[in-house]
This record gives sequence, C-alpha cells and structure tokens, in this order.
Amino acid sequence: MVDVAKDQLGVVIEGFRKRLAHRRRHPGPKSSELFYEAIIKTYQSIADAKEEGKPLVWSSAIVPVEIFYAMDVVPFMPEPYCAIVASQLNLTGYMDMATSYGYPVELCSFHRLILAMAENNELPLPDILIHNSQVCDSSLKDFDLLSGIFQCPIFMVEQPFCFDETGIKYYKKELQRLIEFLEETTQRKLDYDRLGRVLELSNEAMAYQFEYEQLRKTVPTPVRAKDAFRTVNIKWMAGTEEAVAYFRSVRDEAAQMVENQRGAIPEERYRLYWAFAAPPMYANDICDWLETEYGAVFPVDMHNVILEKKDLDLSDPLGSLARKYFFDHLIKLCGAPLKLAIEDVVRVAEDYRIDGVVFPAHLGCKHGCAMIRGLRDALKERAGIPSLILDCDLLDPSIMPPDELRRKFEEFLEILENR
Amino acid sequence: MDDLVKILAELKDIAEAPTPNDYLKSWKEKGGKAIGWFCTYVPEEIIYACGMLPYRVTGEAINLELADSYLYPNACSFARNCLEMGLKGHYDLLDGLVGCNTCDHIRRMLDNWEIYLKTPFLHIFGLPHKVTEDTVSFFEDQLSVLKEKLEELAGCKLSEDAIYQGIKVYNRTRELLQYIYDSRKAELPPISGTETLAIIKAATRMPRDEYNRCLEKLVAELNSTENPKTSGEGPRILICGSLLDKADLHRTVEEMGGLVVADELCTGSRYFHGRVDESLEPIRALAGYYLSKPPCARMRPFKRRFDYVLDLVKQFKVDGVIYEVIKFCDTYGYDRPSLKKELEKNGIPVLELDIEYLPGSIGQVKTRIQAFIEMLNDRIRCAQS
Repeated sequence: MVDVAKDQLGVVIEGFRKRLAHRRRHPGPKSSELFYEAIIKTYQSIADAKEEGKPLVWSSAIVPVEIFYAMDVVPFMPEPYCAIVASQLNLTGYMDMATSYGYPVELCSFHRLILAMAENNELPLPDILIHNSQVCDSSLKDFDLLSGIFQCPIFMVEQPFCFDETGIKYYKKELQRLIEFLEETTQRKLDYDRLGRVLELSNEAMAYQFEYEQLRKTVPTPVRAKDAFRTVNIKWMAGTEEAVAYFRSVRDEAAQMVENQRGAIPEERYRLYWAFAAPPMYANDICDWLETEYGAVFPVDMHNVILEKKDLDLSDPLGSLARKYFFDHLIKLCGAPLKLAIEDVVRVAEDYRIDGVVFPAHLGCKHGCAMIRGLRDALKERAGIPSLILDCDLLDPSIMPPDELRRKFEEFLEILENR
Repeated sequence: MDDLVKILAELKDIAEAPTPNDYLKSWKEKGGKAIGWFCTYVPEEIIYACGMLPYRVTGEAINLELADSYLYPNACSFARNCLEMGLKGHYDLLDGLVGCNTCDHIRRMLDNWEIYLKTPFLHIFGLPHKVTEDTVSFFEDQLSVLKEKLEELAGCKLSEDAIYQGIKVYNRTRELLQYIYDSRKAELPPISGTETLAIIKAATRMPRDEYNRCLEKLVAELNSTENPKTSGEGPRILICGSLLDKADLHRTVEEMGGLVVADELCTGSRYFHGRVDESLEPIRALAGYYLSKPPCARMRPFKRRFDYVLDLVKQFKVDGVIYEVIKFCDTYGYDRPSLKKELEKNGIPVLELDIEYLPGSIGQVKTRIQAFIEMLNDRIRCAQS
C-alpha cells in the first residue's frame, strides 16, 4: 500500500480508537462501543489485507456484501470512507485537485473526491473493483474510470432497469457471474457452506435491525438521530458477527427506552424524516442542535428504511440475495422509477407519524434533485406533510453554510408550529 | 449542383422546423399514430413496422421556467428542454412515448413526464450498460415487451416479415447516410458538418420512406461530377460529447475556418453506424445491433467509446477534437479528462467546451473556438514547412 494511503487510513483508525477508548473510560450505551469496535475491525482489515494475503475489493453501494465475506475477501467502500476523510480534512484542496485533473465542478462532489484521492494515491490500492449499475451515473462512471487509474480487474453488476420477476431472475444470474468473476480473479472458490453461515448472520442482524426500526416509530422516538444515522455503516457489514452484536444491542437499548416510556430527548415536539442522503458532512451537529434547541427528532432516515423483513433463503442464496438488494429502499430512491420511490416515502412518512420531511438537494446529485417535485407533491397531497428542501452540497459548505442551514430549519419548524 | 443545394436546403428546413412540424401534423390528420422517442437506443424499426411515425423528441424552447419547477436547475438542459416542450404542449400530437434509462437526467425527465403530463402511452424499457451474450438476451426480452405494447397501441400483430421490412428500410437509411458521411473523408469534403447534422436530424422528423427517397437523390447528386460542391478548406475537426442537435457549434466552427469532418454524437455518426443483421431473427438482430453499436458514454467499459473516437480521428484525418459537454451532464463529463489524455497522447489537441442546450449558448465560447482553430492552423503550417 502506498504510504500516503496507509498513513491516512492509520489516522482514521486512530481517530476511532481514541473515541472507543473514551467510551470505555466513560461507559454509555453498549452499542456505542460495539459500533467503534466494528468500524475499527473493518478498517484495520483493509489496512492489513495485503499483508494477510487477502484481496482488497472496492465495492460501490448495493452490491451484496455477503458474497465478499463468504469468499473471505476484504470489501472497501470508497464513498463512506471518503466522506469520513472529507469531514476531517481539507475538502477545498481535494475539490481543487479534482478540477486540476479535469473533472468538471458540476459532477457529484463525493465522486470528485474519490477520483481526486485515487489519482493522488491516497486510497488503499484495490485488487478488484466491483460496482452496481443502478445506483447513479456517478457511481457507474467513476468506478469505470478507476479501473483505468488502478489498472485492475473490474466487474459491473448489471442490476437491470426492470422491476419485476424478469429483472430479479436476470440479477440472480448476474450475481452468479459476479461469483465466477471473483473466483477467477482471486483464485479462491466460494465455499457455499460458508455462504450459508454468512446468510444466517445476515438474517439475524436484519431481524434485529427490523425490530429496531419498528421501535423508532414509537412516540416519543427512543433513538437520537446521530446514533440512528450511523447504523448504515454497520448495515453494510451484513453477514458479520459484529453486525449481529451491534443490531442486537441497539434493538435492546431502544426496547428498554420504549418499555420505560422514555424518548431520546426530554421533550419531543417535531418528528422529521431525513428522506434522502444524509446531513451535510460539514454540519454533522445539525441534528444534535435540532434535538436540543427545538425538540425536533428524526425517527426515520433514508438509509435505514426497512419496509418489510425478508429472510434470506438458505436453499436459494443467490435468489434471495437478489431479491433483498433489488428492492432495497436505496435502490428504489436512486435507481428505480420515481413512482416506486413515492410509494415508499409516503408510506414511511405515514407509518412513522412524521410532521415534516427533509430533502437535501445535493448539487451533484441530479437524479435526487429531480425527484423533489414528485415526492413533495405526493407527500402534501396524499399525507398533508410539508417538505423542507435544502439547496446545498453535502460536502461543500460554501453553497449552504451552517448558519444558513440552521436558519432554513428554523423557518421550517415555524411552519410546522403554525399548522 | 443546384439540385444538391436545393435538397440540402430542404433537409435543413425539415431539421429546423418547429415542433409539431408539417409532417407530424399531416400524419395525424390522415389518421395515423405517432410515437415520440428520446434516445438512439430505441429501435425505430418496431415503431415503423407497426405503421406508426417515429418522431424524435428534442428541445426547442428558449427558456426553461416551467421545466425548472419540475426538474431542478442541475438537470441537464436537454432533459429540461424536452420537458419544457412537453409541458407547453408541443408534443400533444404524439400518441405515445418510448424511452429507456439512458442516464439519470433522461430517466428522471421521463419520471416527471409520466406523473405530470397526460401522454396516453409511455413505455420505458431497461437498457443494459454492458454488452455480453446475457445482456443481449435480456435486451431482446425488453424489445419483445416493447413490441407487444406497441402492437396493442397500434391495434396490429406484427409478423416477422413486417419487422424485417422495417429493418431493411432503416438499414437502407444507414447505408445512404454512411455513404454521405464518408464523402467527408475527402480532402475537400462536398458536404459541411453543419449540413450533415441537418441531414441526419431530418431523418428523425419525417416518414422514413420519403426520407430515404430524398437521400437517394442526394447521393445521386453527390455522385454527379458536374460542378462538384466543396465546403472549403481548414483544420479538420471532430466534435464529440453530449447530445447536440442544434447547428450552432458546427456553424460557428465552420464560419471561423474549421471543417467539421466527423463527430461522435448520437445525432451524428452514432445514429446510423453499422447495419442490423438481416440473417438473424429480427428482435434478436435489433437487440444485438442497438446494444453493440458505437456506444454512448453511459455504456461501459469506456474503452469501447474511446476506441471509436480514435478510429474516427484516423479515418477522417482529424487535426483537432472539440469535446463539448452540456453543463451537468455526468456521463460525458466524467469521460472527458481520460479521453482528452488519450487523444493528446496520440498528438490530437482537444478543446473542452461546457455548453447549454439553449439558443445562443455558443456565443460565449466563440473566442475559444477561434483561438483553437488558429492554433490548429499554426500546427498545420509548421508541419507543412
């Protein structure tokens, strides 16, 4: 691994270690320790992959990570990693770097960041690249270009734009082709018994997570936004013991709060739904501020919506993996026709008794922004729920600085107050 | 040569006539059905075989106020312009629309069209991003479903022979257009880039049989040795990038002394390259042809596209490339640095332009185009001396 990448990864891991040490010195919810233990283990395995002789596989979102764990290869998702780095380091420098490499400023800042860091050798070198066709154009294109930068094998999992049994059937075959590709490039055979065990763990974690998400529906909601939002990092570790332990723990903690009729904050006044992406990386404290100052909570967010629990069928591992990932809420929001996203979002807003929906119009996310009108109109007409649209860039504070972000929320909460 | 000039002028008028044009109106007045399509991965042959008029949906609006309230200002101006036209009723004569998941901008434009406009028939099929036997089979299934939907709309049942006839007609178009296009390999091309763009655009806005007859006459005139027309001399330029069906850029380049001899545009060479294999079962043949033709930047791997551009550069003896990207276009925007690097490695200078799909946007980049052509002229003079 190139030194810069290794050093930077080391800094990230060390940062998490310090936070874990702090939590052990000042015990709080068990899930918090489990979170940092899982994250540290994940990033340490990425740092150690080469030394341990394990292939490092870069993956975009919505590729069945269970397959990687079953094959004992090390998955690395550049998007969340780069988001962590961006929140800690100098983003402007990376954006300038991306521009100097020729990438237009209108492209998604997350993907410009990945490309800038890749061109600058600041990311762990992949042995293999795997990406999904259906998340967004940026994810499709940047992985293709990364294969040129890194000169390593790449496989695109074609998730067809066909949201019925024909599409799932095709996708199942595509997962089989993914396995064949991985077997050929890594010279490792997939152990189907091991895959079975991984799927069992995935089912177990999913069952706990589903219960946890149902508990978040309670009024008052038992979980603070920051704690809830970060579960997506563990969701992407589906199939590991760590994910099971973590989701069991957050489920138990939420259940205890509900049993004690306690909310996450002393007085819950507004229930908001972060319907797309996440809070801007430069304003990580916005949810804390909303909870503390205004009693505005987030019982639900885009990354953790599970509308139905579907167990992975061990007798048809690839078919059930295909079904799980094909209809993942993230895919419905990103890659599927808008009418499917609308059904999900309205249903979620009603189920969670939401007062207002928050939608960041991230400048570089063209498909996301183009959904806003349809979602906003449907929420208003079908559920009577207003929306707050934030014209921002999730990485770049110059588009909507933190104080303006707060002002927008304040105006929105005034609207909710007057309803 | 007068007849050649006359035909070119007629095709230019057809290309530039506002929508709905006279062909569309007349077709509808005679009781025919017309189907709009957005992307060159839509097989027009099937629409044609059903006895309906395929009509390409593009944008002619000069402002996008309405569309901006549905899409967002960061949607590409082509997608917004098409939606603007739809919202203002310019496409109300269409009986239906066919599209696919070309890119995020187009599919979200189609999403909004489906929700907010009352076009009676709207079918969006899945277009794979890569070319393998499995994706061709998948695409074949998608086209079979499209065929069934169009048959239902048209009230007909297509025989294999009917589709073959459609393929033959469209293959003839491809043959004729390739001939006209290849004439620009000459040192003094008889047809300019501006004229070529109009010739191809006219194909998408009129009945195909009549268009082919027009092309046959054009080819006959080109072959005539009396007073051969030339479009002049100058640095030989290839234009590539986002969808471009307005002649402003080509015209500006040529007014400033450049010769647009080739392009890698879906409104240019990619529209007609190759032939559908008439020996195969027709839907299979269409699936194979459309998926395998020179790719849009939404297809992967990018190397296929890059190789096509490099081949055009060689065949047409290109001196310089203009790579235009409609602002916010992701697929072509991501490719640009790598393709530019590849071209410059092969000794081909590249001018990068960010443009809008709106009238007058080329005015802002005229100076840069002029400087680029002057630089190319200097290079040519140096090489010759």
